[in-house]
Amino acid sequence: MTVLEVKALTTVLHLPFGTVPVVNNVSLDLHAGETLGIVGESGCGKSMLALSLLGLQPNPPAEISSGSAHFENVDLLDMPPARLRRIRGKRIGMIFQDPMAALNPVMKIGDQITEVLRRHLDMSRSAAKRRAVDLLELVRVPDPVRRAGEYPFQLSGGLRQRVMIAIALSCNPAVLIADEPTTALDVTIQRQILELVRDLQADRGMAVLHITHDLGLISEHADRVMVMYAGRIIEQATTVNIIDHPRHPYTAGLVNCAPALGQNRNSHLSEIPGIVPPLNQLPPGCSFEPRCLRRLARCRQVVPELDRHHSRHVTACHNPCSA
Amino acid sequence: MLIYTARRLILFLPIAIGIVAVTFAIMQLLPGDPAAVLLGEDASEEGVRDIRQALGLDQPWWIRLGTYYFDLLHGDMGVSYFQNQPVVDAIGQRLVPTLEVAIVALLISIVIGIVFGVVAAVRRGTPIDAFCMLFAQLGVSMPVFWFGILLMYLFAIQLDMLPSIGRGPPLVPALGRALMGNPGDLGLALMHIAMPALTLGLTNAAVISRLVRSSMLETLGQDYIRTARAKGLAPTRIVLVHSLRNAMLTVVSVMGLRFGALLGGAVLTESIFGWPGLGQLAVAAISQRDIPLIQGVVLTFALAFALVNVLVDLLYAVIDPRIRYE
Ligand SMILES: Nc1ncnc2c1ncn2[C@@H]1O[C@H](COP(=O)(O)OP(=O)(O)OP(=O)(O)O)[C@@H](O)[C@H]1O
Ligand code: SF4
Ligand SMILES: [Mg+2]
Repeated sequence: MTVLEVKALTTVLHLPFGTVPVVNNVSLDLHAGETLGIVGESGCGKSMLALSLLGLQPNPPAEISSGSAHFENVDLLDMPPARLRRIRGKRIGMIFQDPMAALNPVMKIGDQITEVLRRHLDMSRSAAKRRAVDLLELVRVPDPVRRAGEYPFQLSGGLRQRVMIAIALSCNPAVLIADEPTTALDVTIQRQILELVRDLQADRGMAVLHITHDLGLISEHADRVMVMYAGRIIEQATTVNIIDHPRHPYTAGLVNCAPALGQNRNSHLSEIPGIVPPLNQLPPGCSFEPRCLRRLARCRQVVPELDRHHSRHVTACHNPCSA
Repeated sequence: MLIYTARRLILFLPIAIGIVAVTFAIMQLLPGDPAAVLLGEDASEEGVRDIRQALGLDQPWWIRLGTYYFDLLHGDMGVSYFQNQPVVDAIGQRLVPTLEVAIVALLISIVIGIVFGVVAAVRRGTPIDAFCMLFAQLGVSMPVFWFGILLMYLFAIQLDMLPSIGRGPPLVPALGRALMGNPGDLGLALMHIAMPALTLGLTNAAVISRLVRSSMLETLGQDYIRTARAKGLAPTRIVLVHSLRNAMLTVVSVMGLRFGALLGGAVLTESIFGWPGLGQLAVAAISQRDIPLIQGVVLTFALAFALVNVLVDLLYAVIDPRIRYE
């Protein structure tokens, strides 16, 4: 069952030098209970995509210019703000990259959880308080009663991310958007957090949109993977296919760059020679063309479209690697 | 919090001792001989010598400083040359009226400053923002005395609504009587305090609103505000609970420093509106070269400033747990 269906979403940035797309014509389906990974280098628009889905893109400069995002049969992008607020935090939870900055520094942990419960589930103060402690226990925070009375600065990064997860899951959402939830954490904590998310997901049949720049990490946790480059989706397939038979030269580069896949969790993507072109200097054809070893003459002029006829493994490339 | 409060209060002691010393030193550096001032132009040399002896001015400075500390501990600031009463009494009588104006003005400036600042930040870039900041710009650039005279011209002379000078019944007892069902005095007190408090309050409101706006804009861009929005919270809750409380950290710390400007403004305001407070007393003392009185008033102002900053530190700790738990 599809819970979230995004069609041709484009988000633009209004910058001093002009208006540029930062999320460019992105479509995706998210099914109940699955984990969809979105992989891409820093700055390719992953966060902007995630934020746009909930109308949280920083405006200005960002603005959603076209597309739709249907969730439970209504379009998130075309909905009165008050209605969208009843979906945020309740039906769709979100956790962020930097748990150190994502919690309010002057508010107790417990209060930051109860305010969601009271907002969406209409709970009494005392019921919400008990529930907050239960949630902290659920995300495996030791000594939850004491922690509920503490402030964010008293918690480690890992604990804070657990608190963020507790907040995101407090109302049993159908979808969890996790934007690089472990990038700021060290390797052992990373593993624990991801296992926690996986366990909770299995219990609840929740869909997870997991955004990361770490292909090795996603290969262990996602059912399907979408690869993003300069605002566009350039390849999409099951995780096995992406890892074993990457078709887009960029994906192939990523796979080769993560040598011992699944072991080197800190491997970054930037090991492909060259850099992502700045948003205002995107080439007219394929965005990857300046770095691509398989480029053809027309790559420079014609933007490659996703080849939809390979419905299980789509690629946007004029000269894909053979399977 | 208890420990923090105790620590701040204990730290206040050496500061107070230092303030007394500095006040004392400044008075020593003032040109002119107090004895000569007392006796007037054509005093005989002997007369001056006798007075100097009587006042202890012939002693070395460290003995006089020691005596000063000793007297202060016993609540003795000397006797005013021209008011025919102990300095402590003169200050005591004037302190309450000044506190009345200062507190009412502070309330006005905080309420207006926060409302304008928050609204301007939330409606950033709209005409509402422009209007609020125009108000702030006017308030910041307008001299206190000019604004005071403007108010007086408008409300006292043109509209004849408010008394132009003087103080009504004491505010706090009047408030008490109003609560007991007799509001007459309160009305009178408020009519008198309205213009001095507005003069002082509005000029400060302008400063505060600019401060609130800029720190609100900063906090509204923080990650935890994005989290609050992702939680689906109502915008008012995000602004008032999540953003304003963090923004107040900057505002509160700057306000402690601004209190000095408030005192300066109080001196001017009291002179304009004939308000029988410390500011007026200070002006009178200085023009008469009434040295014990000057010393007493300066000391009072300095201690008030230091005390307010201790309070600000405590307030800061109330808002920010990171300070409390250090
Ligand atoms: N507030 C902003 N103003 C201007 N440009 C922005 C703003 N936020 C993001 N961008 C630009 O938009 C692009 C996409 O940013 P985004 O945060 O979505 O990247 P990302 O893929 O999430 O990267 P990362 O891995 O670093 O989180 C980047 O080039 C970034 O410079
Ligand atoms: S379209 Fe051309 S330039 Fe782009 S990735 Fe494919 S081969 Fe390389
Ligand atoms: Mg990001």
